[in-house]
Amino acid sequence: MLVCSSFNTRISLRMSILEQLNDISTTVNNEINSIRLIDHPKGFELLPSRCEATSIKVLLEKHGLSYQVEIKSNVEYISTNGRFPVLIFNETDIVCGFSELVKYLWKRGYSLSEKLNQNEKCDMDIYTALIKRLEALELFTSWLIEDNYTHVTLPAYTSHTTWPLSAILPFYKKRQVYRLVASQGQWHDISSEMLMAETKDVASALTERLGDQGTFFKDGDTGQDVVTELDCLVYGHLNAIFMTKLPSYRMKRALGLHSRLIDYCKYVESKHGLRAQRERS
Amino acid sequence: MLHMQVKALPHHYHTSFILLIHNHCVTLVIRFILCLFYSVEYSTQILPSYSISTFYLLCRFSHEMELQIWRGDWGLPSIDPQCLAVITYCRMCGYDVPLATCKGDWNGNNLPVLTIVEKEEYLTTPQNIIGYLVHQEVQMDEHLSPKETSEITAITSLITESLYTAIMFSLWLEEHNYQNLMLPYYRSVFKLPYSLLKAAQMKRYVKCMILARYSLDDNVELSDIAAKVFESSKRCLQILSTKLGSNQFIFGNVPSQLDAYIFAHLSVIRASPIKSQLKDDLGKLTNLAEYTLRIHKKYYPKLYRLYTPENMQDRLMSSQMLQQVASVSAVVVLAAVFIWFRSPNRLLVNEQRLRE
Repeated sequence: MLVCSSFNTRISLRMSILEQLNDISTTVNNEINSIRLIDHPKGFELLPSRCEATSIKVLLEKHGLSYQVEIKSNVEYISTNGRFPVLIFNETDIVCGFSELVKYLWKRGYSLSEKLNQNEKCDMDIYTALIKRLEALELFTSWLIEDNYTHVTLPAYTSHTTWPLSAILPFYKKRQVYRLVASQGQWHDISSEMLMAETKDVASALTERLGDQGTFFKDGDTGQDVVTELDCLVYGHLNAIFMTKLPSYRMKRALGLHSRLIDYCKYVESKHGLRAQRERS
Repeated sequence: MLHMQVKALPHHYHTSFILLIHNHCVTLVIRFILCLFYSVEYSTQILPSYSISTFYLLCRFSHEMELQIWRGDWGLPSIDPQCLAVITYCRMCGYDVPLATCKGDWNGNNLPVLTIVEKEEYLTTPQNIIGYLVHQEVQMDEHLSPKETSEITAITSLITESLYTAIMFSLWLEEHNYQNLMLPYYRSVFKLPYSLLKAAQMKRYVKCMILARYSLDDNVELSDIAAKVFESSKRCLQILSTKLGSNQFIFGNVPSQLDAYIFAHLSVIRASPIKSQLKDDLGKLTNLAEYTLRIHKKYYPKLYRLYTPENMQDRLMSSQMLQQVASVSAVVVLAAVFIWFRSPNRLLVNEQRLRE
């Protein structure tokens, strides 16, 4: 416990320093010169972080921003809000997670959703919330399903630590994930049946929203597809889910039943060139 | 009489410890009597453990199904947004679901619970319950297009993500609301030792849940999170406001499942005497405030008339008066006892007794 508490205080100290840095830099700098993307080493990332990383890479590619991938095993502790991968802009600004990145880029004039009207912007926020539900399900799949936990998650998560910490850290993380999943409304009934039902809900909602359209939104005047941040987010998640292999993966099967989603991924890849850049280390 | 199929019961009936012991005792007695008349095998065959709980269930529920909810207040049939959503859904469909308020035979935070007596099943969470009701042809969303149906799922998840979290935050983790609303409510629902325990337990639970949502670090303070919570809830309210526009309901002139869900959350903010930023945010969006009032008037006219704002003030005043009277009377009684104890007459009498 002593080790952990000192560890946590150190993290919070570092967090406050980082936040101060962030505040100062956002007011001063407006140009983006260099981007460093800090990620887990390949093969040691978990499903949720892989999803987030794919969407971030796709979004950066879409904006035409080039980035450098750096590999560090302690990304989780660099992050200020528990989301990773972490992006460092101009060596000073630290941005963690997709939603923060979208806000950061929007402040600097990089936006894919300028043409949308008020109603469509609302729609974008609504469906982003739906993807948050999918995120909770990803966490559930990798942490709370016993097969995946013992064979994939635990070895990957404890690869960079030695014995006493490798027993303590996963315990805390698992508890946190349990709480996060439970806070989605299913306070006591966390089971894999729930997982299937929830995933089906999300998948059918996405399918019905897409309908015959190529992407989520269309230009009002020309009728052409508009690729927005939402497309990057959804594509990133779906692509990572379909590409990952896990011992017990009911979620993938539930999503795979909706062939419309697979078609959507292929369409966006071929037509609009949404694809994550190959990793350079 | 005893030839009925007996299955294991929903776990929330088992968890009440006293009930469990009581059931066990009754089961043993009945088994003993059966053993006298028939044989041991026969008694175990027809009376496996917990069978008495089934009889208890059958006696208790004369209906097909029953919805367990948190008791209502502030002019609403239930104070919990999730329970209120299910009740409003049934009300909008014109379906009378038998209600039962939580009386302390409950362990956990999973209300609303729909118990289906015939199948001996139970369902939790509004989505599951409404899904079951739709399956039973209690529905009103047939007229919606697939796109609108998908919007229902998405907006529901948005509301649980931001608005529900914000409501729970201001009810439980803001000290003023906790002391003046939730503690008195729990005192009225549970008996004394339980009321304090359950309230503390629930507070801890809510804190854990909200912390888990916003940060994976345990050391973050609540004041840091409050800004984020209320920012996202404000955005959610704005989205709902633009979605509603000048319509009567979200999807035109006919109510849908989503209206029940939105109304449940907004009316808790509007009708409760909660002191929070949420109330100001909702007050600024006039179309949402009117929408909530309209649905409240239409579907709960009696309750609405009982709890007008002036009435609410009176009620609050009277409850405060009652508390004051109670505290004053307690002091007076204690003082009286003390004076009687120290009174010279009594001491004299004692002395006389001693002399004798």
